[in-house]
Amino acid sequence: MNGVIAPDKVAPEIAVEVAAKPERLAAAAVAQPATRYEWLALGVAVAATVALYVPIMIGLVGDWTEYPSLSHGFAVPLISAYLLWNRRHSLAETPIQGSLAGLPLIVAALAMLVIGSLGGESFVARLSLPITLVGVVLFLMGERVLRQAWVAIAYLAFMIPLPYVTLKALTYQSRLFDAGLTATALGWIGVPVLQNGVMLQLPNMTLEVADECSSVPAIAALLALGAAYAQLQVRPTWIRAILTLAAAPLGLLSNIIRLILTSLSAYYLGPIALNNVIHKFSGTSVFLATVVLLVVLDTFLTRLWKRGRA
Amino acid sequence: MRVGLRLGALLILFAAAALLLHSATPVTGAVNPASVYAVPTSLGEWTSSDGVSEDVLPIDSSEKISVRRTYRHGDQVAWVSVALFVGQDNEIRRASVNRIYPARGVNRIEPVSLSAPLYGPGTSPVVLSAVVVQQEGHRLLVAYWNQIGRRAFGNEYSFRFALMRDMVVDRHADSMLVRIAMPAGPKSQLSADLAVVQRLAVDLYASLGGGR
Repeated sequence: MNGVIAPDKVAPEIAVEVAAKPERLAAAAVAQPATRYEWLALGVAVAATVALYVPIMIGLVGDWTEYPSLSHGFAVPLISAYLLWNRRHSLAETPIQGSLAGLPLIVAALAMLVIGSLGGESFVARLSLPITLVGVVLFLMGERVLRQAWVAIAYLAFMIPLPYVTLKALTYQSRLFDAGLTATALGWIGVPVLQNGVMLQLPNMTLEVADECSSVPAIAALLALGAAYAQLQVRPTWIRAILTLAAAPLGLLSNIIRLILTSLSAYYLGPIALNNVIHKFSGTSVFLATVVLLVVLDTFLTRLWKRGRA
Repeated sequence: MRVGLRLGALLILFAAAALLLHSATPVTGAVNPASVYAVPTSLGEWTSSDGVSEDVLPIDSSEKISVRRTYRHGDQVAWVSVALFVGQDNEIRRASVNRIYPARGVNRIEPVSLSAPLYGPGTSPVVLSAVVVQQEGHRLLVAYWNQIGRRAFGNEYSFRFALMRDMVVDRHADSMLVRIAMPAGPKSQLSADLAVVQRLAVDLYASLGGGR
């Protein structure tokens, strides 16, 4: 029989597998890349989502404008759009097959929008935006398209500020932590310092690690930066994950270095040091220092990876 | 289901959500502001006078009304503020978290554990928020809770969830922030200080209990 098995000799579980295969093949054959009409439908759905969320977006823009630590929010939608644009070729080739699993997601997200808006909890309402978008893409275009687009959609979460109550508690803990590390480092350098909570008492003056000096307000921006940086080039997933996660501790490190430099200059130069560029543009200096540290880490990891492959 | 049908279903859902959002009238009214004025002039053996220094209990610009009293008992002093708020999470209300206890010139803020049987003896005690604020030269113990009607919330997240539920379901948006402050002694006296605040909290809650 030349190795061909008669159907009646096949074990039952294999027979089920053989029987299921044609259906899967048929489904694969049905799933085609999206036509213009389907992209248009997605465009209309996204436009409708944007229209529905206009009041939420106005509130977000207000927050980004009012609080300098949230101003990275303006860049987030642009970076998200860039991440999608980067995948435009693979998106165009991805077969679409809308999934009903998107529908409960959309309903849940809209419930969050309504409850959050009517209940005065903007965080809940805002968080529903990326969830709605995930639902829309899944419902209209299917799982394979979502697999291509989820990073860009999830990235939008970085534009949503944490609830102020959470942020406040984290900020205070961070101030204590930052003051403690700075005092320890100053002690190692040989600068006499007495830490009293968030106050650093130097022989010539007392410095307060204020809310603005804390690392926390910058963490969301730095995580967003790390995630965007990690997506910029083709890299192994593990390097992307490390670069994304490393942005926060690197930001913390940059902030501690800034606090140490400020304290040192206050000790040696006096109050005039508090008017220097590094202290005045604290957010910018921490941001730039973190970018430099990310590039250094990226170079190191990429070399490590290439050496491993060689 | 074809893409056109799916898009139609989606637009119907969006329209329903938009209709809900736009047809709902904003909740701005206070249901029972009278309970704010129920702050008594005496709490047990403590007698009071009007007013509390803003350095001790800051005034929040988003409060609608407030009653602030200084209580004395022998050489002990305690400050009480009961403020009415309407709504949550707008731009002004968000900053309220900075106005609960003093924030200027503060070296350290230590959370301390405090619970009080607000709902009466034999009921499970309510865990209240309490902090020791350490400023130059002195320490201040501040205990506080949010109250919606008769429900007291020591946890900020439980309070916000309850207020959200009230705003959506019952269309009420009013709540009270009740604060009690007193000078805190050294750490060894903390449990005695907490016991004093606990008794004041129970008496104060009983006086304010006339809500819905």
